[in-house]
Amino acid sequence: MTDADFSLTGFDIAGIDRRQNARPEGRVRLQSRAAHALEQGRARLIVTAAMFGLAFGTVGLRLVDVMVLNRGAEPGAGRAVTAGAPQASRADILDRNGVLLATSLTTASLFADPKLVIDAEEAARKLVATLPELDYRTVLAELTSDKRFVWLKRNLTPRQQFEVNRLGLPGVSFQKEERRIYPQGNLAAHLVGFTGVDNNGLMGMEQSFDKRLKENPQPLQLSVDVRIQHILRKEIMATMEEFSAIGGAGIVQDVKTGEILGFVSLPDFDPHIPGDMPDDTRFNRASLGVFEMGSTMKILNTAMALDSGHVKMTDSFDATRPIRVGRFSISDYHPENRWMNVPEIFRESSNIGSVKMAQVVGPQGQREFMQRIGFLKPAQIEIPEVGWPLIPNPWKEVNLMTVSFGHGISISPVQLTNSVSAVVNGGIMHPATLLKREKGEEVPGTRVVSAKTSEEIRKLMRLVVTDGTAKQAFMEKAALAGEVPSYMVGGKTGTAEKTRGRTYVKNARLSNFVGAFPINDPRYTIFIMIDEPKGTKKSFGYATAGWTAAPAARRVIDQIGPLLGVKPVNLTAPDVVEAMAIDGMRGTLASY
Amino acid sequence: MIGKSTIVWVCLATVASGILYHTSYRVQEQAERLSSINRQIVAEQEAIQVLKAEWAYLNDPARLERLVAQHTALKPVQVAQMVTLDAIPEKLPEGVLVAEAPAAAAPAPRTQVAAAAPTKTDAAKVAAKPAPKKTDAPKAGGAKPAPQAAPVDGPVLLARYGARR
Repeated sequence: MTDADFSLTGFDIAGIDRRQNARPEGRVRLQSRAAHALEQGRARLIVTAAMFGLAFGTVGLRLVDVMVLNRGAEPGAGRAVTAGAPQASRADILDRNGVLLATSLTTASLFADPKLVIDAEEAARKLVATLPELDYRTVLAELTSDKRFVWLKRNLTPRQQFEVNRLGLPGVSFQKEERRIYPQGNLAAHLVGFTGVDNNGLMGMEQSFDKRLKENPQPLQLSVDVRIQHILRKEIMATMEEFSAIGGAGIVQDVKTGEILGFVSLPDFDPHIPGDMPDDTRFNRASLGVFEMGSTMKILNTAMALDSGHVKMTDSFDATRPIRVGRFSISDYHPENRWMNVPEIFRESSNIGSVKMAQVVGPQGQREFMQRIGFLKPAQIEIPEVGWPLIPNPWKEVNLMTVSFGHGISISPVQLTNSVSAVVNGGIMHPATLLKREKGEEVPGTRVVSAKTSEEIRKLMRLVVTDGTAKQAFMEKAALAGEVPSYMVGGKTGTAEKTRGRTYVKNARLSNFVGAFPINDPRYTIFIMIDEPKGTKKSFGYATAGWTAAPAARRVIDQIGPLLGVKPVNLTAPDVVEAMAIDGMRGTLASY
Repeated sequence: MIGKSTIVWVCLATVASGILYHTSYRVQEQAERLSSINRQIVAEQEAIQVLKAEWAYLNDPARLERLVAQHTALKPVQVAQMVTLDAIPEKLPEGVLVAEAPAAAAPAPRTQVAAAAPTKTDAAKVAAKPAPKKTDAPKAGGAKPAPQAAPVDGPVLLARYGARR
């Protein structure tokens, strides 16, 4: 098309060559000099096109990926807060009915930056007017100090925070902090425990479930019932006051599941200010303290003797004179000086008879039985405050004698309660637990005594209440006459002299009562211990368990019975009398 | 030809970018709302936690016991107050029986719900009545007059709780 002799592009445009040599050739052909440049240009074009294609392809694919395939998962999109999940870093602790025992609250703490405070005097005056517990001079000193940060008050209530906010003071601000709150106060202090300033559990369930409470926001549900806990604590406290006692403990346990419904140790402390209370208040008498329980151990001694198969209920033992061992002599509190059968020994709480019964089994058998009911190891409950029992070592004949009536062996109240639960519930030991068991949950258990022994022990424990040492606490004329119904309780009292150093002290006693109700088909056991009660005029100077722990137990049972759905019965009903009758024994009820 | 298709494409691009900006601003708006609602939820949860703690604190058994003693004539259930179902007669001749609460001042006997019924308690089964549990919130609020019930067939016991002032 053009007449130019050459072309800038190196193409030989048609017509030029044809004129020179008339060879029929293609209109366009490559000249050897230009061919190389042409190839290079083409290659560059292809590479560039490929690059662009790749880039646009990537962008396109990414667009499809973001808009079509990946809907909803866009980065940076906000998430809704899970409703209902507490934001606190430590889970709540609840009782078995869901009543709050411990919770974490986000509270505001008040601080100031003195550099930003304009009028320190006015600010201090206003703050003290709003928070009367602050001292004007201290606040003023803080606000005029040279620091950049001073705490004015930690953990304000929401109302206080609002009030301070309304003052509109410059330089005064809030810092969010977390605080552990125990709405029930002292009520379950030993059980729940407390946390330190850095929110670490330092006692009780707070300590043993520290990790669980921090990691799992679900509340931890305990087996205790706040109502039962309150009644138990109230009655023990009243008894302690009446008899000027130095301490007390109480446990209510479900015999079929091992759950502990009430767990009291007195004196107790306020978990918000554990450091401000005397050290004695933090001592857990119910599980950390080990005591010589005295006659309540005869329940286990008798169960051991009957379960060995060598002692029958009708067997009689010689209790005519005290037993001499070296320089000691074992005698009875109320000496009968006669031959007594097993129910009589149990009813009169005869030490001599108990020793004779234990001698049939022997030291080895006794030790083996104590191991079976868990007296040789600390109680297996969830709190860290668990005391090691003090057991005889070596276990000799003299130890056999003292152990048979509850001396020379120190165990914790929770161990005694759990073993009595096992002995009365048909002979199966369920481990004591402070956590709520779900309904229908399999309860682990091991047999410790036979069902027959268990039934005999129930009858013996009933005998103590109808005719023995607990009679005046439980048996009223109206109930005996069948005019009012009453709860079927069985139990055993125990009064032990406490040791100081190596000798027993006459006036320092430990009175305890352990019982089960309804005794014909036990559902709950109750243990009450009063530490060093002093006799009063009303109790004719007595401070034995029959006057102290047993009446307290009776008052507790009367109040918790309706809560637990236990039905009272008429004591004169023939089937009731029949169910608890012991062959060869004529008790009060039989004579009515 | 070229001009026409270009115009179409430019128009499409303008519309698309318009929609994109609109959507983007709406998303931003929604995100802001979401975070504000989230903050609100957290604040509400904290408030709920505080109220729960306060509820538990106010329901402290010792406090309830004190309040019940102060404001009502209610007492813990006594064993003697429980009667068997058989002990309740089939029909009362008087019709409706009303157990009056004692005046607050006098240390009068307990609200004798059971005493109204004859104390024929020889049956083994006992009707555990829905007794006023101690930790339940007291039905306070003065002496409400018992509703004047129409003649009824079955036995009816009405107890008037609350001290009269």
